[in-house]
Amino acid sequence: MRVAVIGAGVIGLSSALCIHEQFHSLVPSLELEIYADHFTPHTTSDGAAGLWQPYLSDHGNLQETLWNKETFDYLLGHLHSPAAKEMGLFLISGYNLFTEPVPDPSWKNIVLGFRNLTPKELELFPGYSYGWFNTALMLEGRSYLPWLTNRLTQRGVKFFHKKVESFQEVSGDGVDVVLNCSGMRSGDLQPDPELQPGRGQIIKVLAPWVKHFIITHDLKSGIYNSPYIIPGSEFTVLGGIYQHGNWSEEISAKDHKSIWDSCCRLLPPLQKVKIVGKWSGLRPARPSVRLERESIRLGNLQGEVIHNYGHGGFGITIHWGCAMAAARLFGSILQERKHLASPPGPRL
Amino acid sequence: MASPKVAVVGAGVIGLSTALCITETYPSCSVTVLSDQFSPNTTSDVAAGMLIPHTYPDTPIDRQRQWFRETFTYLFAISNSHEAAEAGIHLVSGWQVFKSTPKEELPFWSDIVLGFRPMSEAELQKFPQHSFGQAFTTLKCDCPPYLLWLEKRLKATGTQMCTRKVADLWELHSEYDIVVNCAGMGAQQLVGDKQLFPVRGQVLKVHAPWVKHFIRDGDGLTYIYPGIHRVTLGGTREKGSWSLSPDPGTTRDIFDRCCSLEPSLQGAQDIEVKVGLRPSRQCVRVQREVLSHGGVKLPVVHNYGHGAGGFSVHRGTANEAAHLVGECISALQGSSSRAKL
Repeated sequence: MRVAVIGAGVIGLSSALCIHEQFHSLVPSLELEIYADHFTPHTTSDGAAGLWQPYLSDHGNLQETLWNKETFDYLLGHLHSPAAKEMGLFLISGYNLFTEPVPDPSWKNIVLGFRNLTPKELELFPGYSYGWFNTALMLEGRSYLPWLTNRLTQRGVKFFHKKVESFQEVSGDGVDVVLNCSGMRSGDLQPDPELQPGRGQIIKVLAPWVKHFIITHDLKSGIYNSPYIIPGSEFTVLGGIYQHGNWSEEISAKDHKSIWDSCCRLLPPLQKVKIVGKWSGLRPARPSVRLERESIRLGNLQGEVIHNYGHGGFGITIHWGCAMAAARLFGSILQERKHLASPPGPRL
Repeated sequence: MASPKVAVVGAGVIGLSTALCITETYPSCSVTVLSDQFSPNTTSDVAAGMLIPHTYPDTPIDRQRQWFRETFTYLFAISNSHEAAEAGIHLVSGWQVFKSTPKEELPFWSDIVLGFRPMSEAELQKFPQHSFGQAFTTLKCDCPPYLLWLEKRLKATGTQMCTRKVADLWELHSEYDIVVNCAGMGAQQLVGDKQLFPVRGQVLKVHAPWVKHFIRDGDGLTYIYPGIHRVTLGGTREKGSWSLSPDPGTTRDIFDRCCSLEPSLQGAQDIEVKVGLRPSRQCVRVQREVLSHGGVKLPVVHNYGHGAGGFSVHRGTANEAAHLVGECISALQGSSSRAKL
């Protein structure tokens, strides 16, 4: 049973690991291969700050809220394990700021210690009159992806540096299932007008005295188009750009200035910090995550593709819940093909 | 008395902040800070500088609240300004956890720090050996940055800094009109205060930049305080010990206790061990005194004995000491104008 995974960002690697963990002992012939044009540290996941936080509203998409919760709980469970540091996993608290009262988010009971900000705390942020404080998690891509890669390599999973142009390309030669985790470039494999880039840009600075994330919201301009500051373990990320439909991965001087000016207004001490990097990337945005099976004609055989893409700006936040859902879909494929008598183990 | 000459003995957080308050409130004074040690070699440099008050048994609670409130307000304004990074002042959130519910569930300072509330069940899961906790956000003064920032502000007002070991306050009477005693542990010898005693504290300063929260055991013995570049792990409270040498067994013990609160500290690097003697007293001595010797008088203002709570109340006690200096100035001006009659 050969499985080809396309994509080596957080989604591809975690889905591959989840499937291997769950099915390897049940399906001894299971062979996983990962194909990608970019590996860490050059994936979209590497550019993200790594903060676990969904969007403000799930738009009734309870499935995604559940996947977010599964991810948070899974990561929380690993917080005290010896692997946490290597994974780039740690707790972080901080502020979400608004210029008007807003309803509580779908994730208020998933994070720890969620509460409204007190008037004294709001004094720290002139111009903002309402906000939340909570404790969440950081999962830094540049540590997590290598950690996933190591776990996969230990399990004998093979990696291929290749830009895949079609499902057929990887599915010849006995590959039964293709796991499509190609993020922004899924449209190259199969047109999907619902998948659009949500271009982001960030500035990396050294500001080690900042211990909290600070995320502002401008309900009119939309998510992540308002300044945010996220302190990591080695540098702090300044951001606040979300351009729907913009495919450019070049650094824009205009966006740089906009991020810089707005973040310095938010936190005046930033004016004196050293800039250590800049990055621009494309959030693979979609009205909802595409996580489903599709039967595809592969030569003269029927193959199965499991799609798992379109995680926008919340890939890290939702990744494990999606990986487990992808693994369940894989399990159902195995059942149908009589590789398994019944689905393995209890699941959420 | 056109320009009273004031000597401040001591260059830790108390000496420097008191000197600064004096220059701010009485700009006509000429202030000199005298100390055998300056940052980074003061007791204050060993401390983490967390604004979590220590309770002095014999100081009225109202006065302690006032001191803490003034200090918090002062530092809060700096943390919000352009100077925050240079001054080493930053906000930090975290948890104080207890193995059994404390007698006092609401400490006197709970409404002064930010967002104080009991921890939820979910938050307590992170601390399996503890059954009760409090979450809040407070401020931290990193040293040396904070002390260096105070020194810089003092120099800008024309304050002189002199490295000098003062063996006796009387030494100063011919050069200075008023002496302010902020000698911390040194006050024991300097003024013979037998109520002052050392409480030895050993700490580790480690590189663990993924630790973004403070964690403190309510017993005050085990704590993790993340600073700008290093995390302070503590500690000990050894009453009566004068030893400034790090003890390796204690280092191991502190590290183990902190790792049991925060397992990821196992990966901490570059462990540096430091020792300080908290200048402890049942109550902080903020008091005026006139020393008299052979017809000569020397007005003295004492500001020492802050023990484990120096940073938490420093600005409040500095304000009070500066006020007492003002009283000394008035008294001197009164007597000098009488002398002119």
